Amino acid sequence: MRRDTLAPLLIGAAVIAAIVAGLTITGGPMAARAEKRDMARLADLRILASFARCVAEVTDNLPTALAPVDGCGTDLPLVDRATQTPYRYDVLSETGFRLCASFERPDLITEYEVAGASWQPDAGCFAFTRP
Amino acid sequence: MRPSDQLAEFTRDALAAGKSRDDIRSALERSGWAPNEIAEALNAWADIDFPTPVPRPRPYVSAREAFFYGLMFAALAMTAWHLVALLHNLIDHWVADPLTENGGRYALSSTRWSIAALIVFTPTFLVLNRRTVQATKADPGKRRSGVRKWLGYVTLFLASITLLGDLMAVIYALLSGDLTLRFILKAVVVAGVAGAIFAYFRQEAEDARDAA
Repeated sequence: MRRDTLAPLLIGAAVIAAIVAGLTITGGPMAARAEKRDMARLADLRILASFARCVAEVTDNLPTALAPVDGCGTDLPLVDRATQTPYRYDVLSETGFRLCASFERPDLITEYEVAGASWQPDAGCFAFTRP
Repeated sequence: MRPSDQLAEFTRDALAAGKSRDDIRSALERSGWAPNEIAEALNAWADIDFPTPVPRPRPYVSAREAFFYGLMFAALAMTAWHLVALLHNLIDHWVADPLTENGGRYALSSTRWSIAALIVFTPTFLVLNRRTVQATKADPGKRRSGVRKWLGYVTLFLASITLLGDLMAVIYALLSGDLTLRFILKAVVVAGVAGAIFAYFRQEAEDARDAA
């Protein structure tokens, strides 16, 4: 009799505690949506990075600004889809540049997200060097 | 000979000897058979006027029982598995191991899967389990259900395998220098969940042992 009521209560309590703890880590639907927006930003930055590298390859110079160039892509994702703010592109040196976005959950982004870049979490930037 | 065979044979013999159904029913009741078992045994023979008992066509196992117990044990297995997975992710998050890289977004996505699985399957298991407990209280013969016994033993078997595998993993980790706090906590989680299932269903299996 006691086992019949106690065991389900314990299972229920353990599961609810685990779910609540899990949600504090994953952060619920709104945080997940923010994560999804970050993924879209990362995808855009990857496209812009390969565009900049392509321009450097073709013209032997890094582009001064992110303006469409024939042969390297003309349909560039220049603005953040969620906030409509433009992505930042800075030329750091003759061979280095960086691309920045306002990431909402920078703690989840690792250096491996964009190939060949170094991640600067405080600025929300990926720094690249020309190959 | 299995008890259900003995019951069927007794019923046939008694009917063949010309005993009335009420006499047979009261004899079986006095011997400890549950009402649903007696009704089933008597319903196996057609109530018509013929020199020998005439069998009715019957299904071999109850499809309804197979559905309920199958769903219940599947829900239990999903609950146990995902509870362990979720707790492992929590341990990974809270207890850092300097030698292991952080799972990052991959860990978040597996945590979300486990949360979703628990939200669906834990209430399913608890509701079905509650129904089973109530049905068993109302009709103790249900404890002798073959489907329930088999699925119960399958669950016990899986719990035993999990416990043994857990023990093996701990010994392997000890031998290869992996025995960190993180790993010990994970092993404790697996042992705890598997042990709870084991304790819960061992009782059930003992209840049904008479009908082996």
